[in-house]
Amino acid sequence: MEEFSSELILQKSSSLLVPKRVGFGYLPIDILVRIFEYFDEDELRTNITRVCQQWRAAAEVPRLWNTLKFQGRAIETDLICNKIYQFRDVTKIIIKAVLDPMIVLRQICRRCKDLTYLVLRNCPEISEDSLRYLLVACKHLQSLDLKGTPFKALILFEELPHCQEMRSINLGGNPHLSMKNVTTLVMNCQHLDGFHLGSFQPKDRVDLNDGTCYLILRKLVHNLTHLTLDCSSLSAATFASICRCRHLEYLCLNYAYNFRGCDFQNMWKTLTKLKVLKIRNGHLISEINCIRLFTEGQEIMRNLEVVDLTGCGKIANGSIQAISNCCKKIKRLIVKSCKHITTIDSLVEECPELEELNIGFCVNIKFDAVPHHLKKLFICDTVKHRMFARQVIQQCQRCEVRVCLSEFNKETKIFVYE
Amino acid sequence: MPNIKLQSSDGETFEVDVEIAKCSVTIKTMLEDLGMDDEEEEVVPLPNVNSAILRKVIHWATYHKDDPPPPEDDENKEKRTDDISSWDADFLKVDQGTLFELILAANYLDIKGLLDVTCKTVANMIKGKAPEEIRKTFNIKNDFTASEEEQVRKENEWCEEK
Repeated sequence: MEEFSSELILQKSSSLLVPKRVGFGYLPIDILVRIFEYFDEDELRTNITRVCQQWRAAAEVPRLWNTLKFQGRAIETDLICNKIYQFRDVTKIIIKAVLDPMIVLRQICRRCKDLTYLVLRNCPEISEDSLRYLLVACKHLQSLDLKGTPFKALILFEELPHCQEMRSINLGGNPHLSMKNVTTLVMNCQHLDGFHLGSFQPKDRVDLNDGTCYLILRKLVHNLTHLTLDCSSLSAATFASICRCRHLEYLCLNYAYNFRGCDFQNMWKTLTKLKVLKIRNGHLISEINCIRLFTEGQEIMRNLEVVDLTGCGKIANGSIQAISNCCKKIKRLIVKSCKHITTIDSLVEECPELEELNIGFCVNIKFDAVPHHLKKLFICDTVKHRMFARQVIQQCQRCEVRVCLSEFNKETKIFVYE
Repeated sequence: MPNIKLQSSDGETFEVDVEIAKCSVTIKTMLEDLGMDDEEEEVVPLPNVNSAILRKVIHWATYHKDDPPPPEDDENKEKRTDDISSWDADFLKVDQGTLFELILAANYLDIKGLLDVTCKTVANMIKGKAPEEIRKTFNIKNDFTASEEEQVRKENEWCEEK
């Protein structure tokens, strides 16, 4: 009886046979997988797979991989296709600036029928056929982001209504896109809750006009939670109607030249769900407008996690103080090219969760306090900024510092302290 | 409460409340499968757990005997590692050899709560470390050949911004 019961126990678990060798390098795969469930794909990829053979085997169990990410022209297309084959049950794929997007797209169509989320950004032009194939093969796509990847495919706008589950579209930075395309798209897909038409660079700008925006906003006003627009040709009236999309959680307005300060400072009255607020080049927004938004609207605006006021040239220290007082959950703050700012000390003291700070071209800042928990810092190439970056790196060793190269686009290079 | 006797690999016998012993699914199933009667003076042999570790496991199980059953694993739920109770954190302030043995024992005895909390502890020790630091922390030998290492490095540079 006793012998029988111990045998029974022996069959219970695969890892019960005591590992041949002791030590964490030899933990059984199923236990390692349990441990690795607490990590995201980036950490699995960059650290854990490189520890030893056993850890690599465990870290590459497909169950741990929900998202695949590829970035850069240096990655061989074959490698990307192999990884897609290896992890074909992933639901999200993010591809940026790869050499041969069409071959990769074909592999996705063949292997990933259950894909729900695809980003294909900043790639060379893709053909009409490859897009058509994608929409037919991946029927469950909910989000398609083609920002910066040009295509001429009219078919997309006709096929999209058949993609019943599609909820979010990003078509920014496509020089072939016409207002007519945009109108067709929006008229056909009334269930979109995410709509993004914004460019990385002025040359790729899609100049939306008030009429097209009127249609977009009228069709989508009840659903929209995420909105990005290039606004250089839009009038104040359109900005006012954007502020009526009550469900917005993410709002990004590029070239918001005509966004009136009074509409800006009262946003909190209607946009009560905002978590991400990016208003770039809001030339009409004054320091007072900004302070009022974050003080009068404190109860609402305190939920913000990302604030981007790039090129809102009139804001200054009062705005930074108001943001510090209001936004205790802020993770990313971008105030690039806000040259009136001369101190950021209040942020350092009052925003403990701040991970990313962009102060590129804020050339008048006098640095005093040094943040402790930054993961990413963007500076510009001045002596004061470089000194500050050095202090930050000493405080937070894992902080990545990048140098902004232009006021007019997002080009950066990695900061090397000499 | 009836007791049950558990025997460790090195022959030591521990007398434990049956309800506490049953937090181990392995023991619970065995008692049910074999119809072990509460009144029988049965000794359950646990050939993979030594007495030092078994003592710790019983200590843990006794403290947690009134816990609600742990929730089922949910694939979609984000997994956190910062929710270890202070009692557990103290309990797990042990050397790495003991932590290692505890994980194996929790897995073998199928005690989900203990397995979760030990795995979380290890995850916390790994978080944010580079491969070399991880190897140093856990005294793991780098068993990749030079060419394998190059291959792994290349394969994993899928998206490093330059």
